[in-house]
Amino acid sequence: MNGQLPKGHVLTTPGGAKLRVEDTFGSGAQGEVYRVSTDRGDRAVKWYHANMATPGQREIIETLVGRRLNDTRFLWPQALVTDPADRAGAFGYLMAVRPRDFHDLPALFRREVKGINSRKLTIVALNTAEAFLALHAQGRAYRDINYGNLFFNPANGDILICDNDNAVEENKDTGIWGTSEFMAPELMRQDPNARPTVQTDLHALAVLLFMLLMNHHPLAGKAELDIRCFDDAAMKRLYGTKPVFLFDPGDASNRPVPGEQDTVIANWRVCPPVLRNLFTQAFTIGLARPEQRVRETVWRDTFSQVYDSIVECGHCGRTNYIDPGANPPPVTCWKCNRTVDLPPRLEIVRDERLRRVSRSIRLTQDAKVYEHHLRRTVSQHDYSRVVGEVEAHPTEKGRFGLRNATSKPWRVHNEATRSLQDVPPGKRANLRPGLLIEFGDGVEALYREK
Amino acid sequence: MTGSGPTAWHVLRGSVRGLNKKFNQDSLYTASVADGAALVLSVADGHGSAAHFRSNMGSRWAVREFADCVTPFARTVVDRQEDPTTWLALFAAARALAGPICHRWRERALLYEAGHPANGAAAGERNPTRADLIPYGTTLLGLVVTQQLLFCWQVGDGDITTSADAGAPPRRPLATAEEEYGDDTDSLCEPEPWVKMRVHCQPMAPLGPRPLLIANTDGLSKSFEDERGYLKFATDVHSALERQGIDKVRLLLEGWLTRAAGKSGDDTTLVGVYAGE
Repeated sequence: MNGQLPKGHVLTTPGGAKLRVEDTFGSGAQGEVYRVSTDRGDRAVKWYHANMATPGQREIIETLVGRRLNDTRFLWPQALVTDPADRAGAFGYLMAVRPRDFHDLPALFRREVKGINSRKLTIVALNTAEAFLALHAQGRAYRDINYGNLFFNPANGDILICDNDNAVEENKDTGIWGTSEFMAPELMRQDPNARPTVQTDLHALAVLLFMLLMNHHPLAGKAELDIRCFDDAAMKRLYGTKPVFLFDPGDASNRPVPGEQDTVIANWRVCPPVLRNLFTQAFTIGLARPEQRVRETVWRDTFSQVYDSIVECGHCGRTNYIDPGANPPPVTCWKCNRTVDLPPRLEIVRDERLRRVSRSIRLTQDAKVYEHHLRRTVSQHDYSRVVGEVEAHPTEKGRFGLRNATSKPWRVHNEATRSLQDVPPGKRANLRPGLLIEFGDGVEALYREK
Repeated sequence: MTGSGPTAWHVLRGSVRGLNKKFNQDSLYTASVADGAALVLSVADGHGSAAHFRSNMGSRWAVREFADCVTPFARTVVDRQEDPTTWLALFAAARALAGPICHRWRERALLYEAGHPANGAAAGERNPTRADLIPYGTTLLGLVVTQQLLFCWQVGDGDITTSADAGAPPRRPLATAEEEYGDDTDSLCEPEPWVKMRVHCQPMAPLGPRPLLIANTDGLSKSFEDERGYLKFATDVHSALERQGIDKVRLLLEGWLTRAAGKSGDDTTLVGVYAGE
């Protein structure tokens, strides 16, 4: 076998499980990943290269196995794996197999991922922010967020985060400082007292989200192309000592270069202002002041709202991002260059900390009301938990209905006719001006023309 | 090279014009860096069709710009390879080189295009940032090999293959799930080609003490019926190196490539490095 472990070799876990090596999934920087057969079906084993199999790494794996993260978006280490025939102390860890329908970001950049669209990409971004929120909420830092660790399913936006073998409490030293392009400036500069923390993870997360949506690094513009010798000093300058955001409103020195970096120029143009503002915060003031970096909750809530504001151009049918909420700035379709007509919206209103808060869902053919719209807090957005399905009127353009996808009736008020009626499960409420739907628990939806 | 790894490195290189081709549009480059502590190898396949009528230039610039770009990096690797805690950073740096490699090729092509526009445009009519580089289209495959570490970069078709020993199946670490077919290939002449650049990094240790590493243009792999045939070729070369030695294989290589070029009809180029006695 062209690797460390031959086919048929048997590895074990501390619990006595026997793992038979079948073949390799691939090799990488830290080790090789093998497919192994077990009593419970196929699993994957990451087997460390000899130089990486340190006592410190082994202790980290044992810690991670003992303190699992209860979030299915992480391919978490399930057990330490050792080789009974090996006396040199080599080891690895057991994890689930990544399904074949999950792709990595380089494949997205190469346009090799079929079926991905704006909506699914937004769910990927939301899931990514939410998954790291779950990790950080436990006081753990990931330490090496980069595009090699994130995998996504283009069919539904589900994600898997791999290589979780350094995600221990942020006060522990794992020796991992991250990947240069994703490292916070203070880590790149090796500032005194700088070390990988949740705050440095937030910088890497912002870079990852920018790359996911813009397909480009946020600091790699003209300054990168001017570098003749791309060595350590150049990388330190680009990401550490003189980082400048491509679209920094106060510093145009590192703008993307037309003709050579056109993708990011085009993607930034169609990015909704609410996201542009967050990226600008993350890569201007957030570069110098870690406490000003954009939190995972802000990313999550913003992506959730952006998802509800994706609309199709009435002229050419292409999807466009518009700003969430009422009266967004006008948007020109990226494809046909005509003004995108805004469809009506459903304004969801609910109680939150003794006040009423609202959010909007633009009424399009694919729009739905989900369970997370009705709840104050959710640990995980689940786009399979549908409360109501928007249906376009079969003949009257611009008119919509909302089908009750729950098991309980809704109460619907019509201010125009001053009528009150129930919409049973499976039935549809016709959405008109003045309509108010009660979902229960104080959550209401109002139909708005703009 | 010194240390606990292979005792000597032997470079293989050969390039043969395809059957019925007017001239060879492939290029290759090999060089030792840091007094032989690192090797830089690359091949490039100029697309060669009517639309790519300057692709022999494109492929030549590709291998040279690749070498110029990765040589400082190779020196850094030599300096740091004995400390495994630096490896992850080196792997990240290798991935980050995709942009600069492509940018250097583009600059080189733009420089030539400015003086010799492929479409014959007069000086006042040229737009240097929107220049059409399709005539220069080429693939690029490159390696940096040191005693401890291996780095591979690839845009477009062709193969980078590692063989740990002649008895084990070789691997193509940058093979894609869906292989490119026909004459369609990713190219340095496309917009933002670095997004198409695949990068692979790994320690040398899993490849054993006498590995063979090969980079070749697709003229070679297309001469076989399927991937198995190509991988058997790699195994056979490795066996021949172990049984007959490097000098004999160097003599035989041109004949093998000529036979391949005859079957595929395409220019066929190979660079390789073998760790032997």
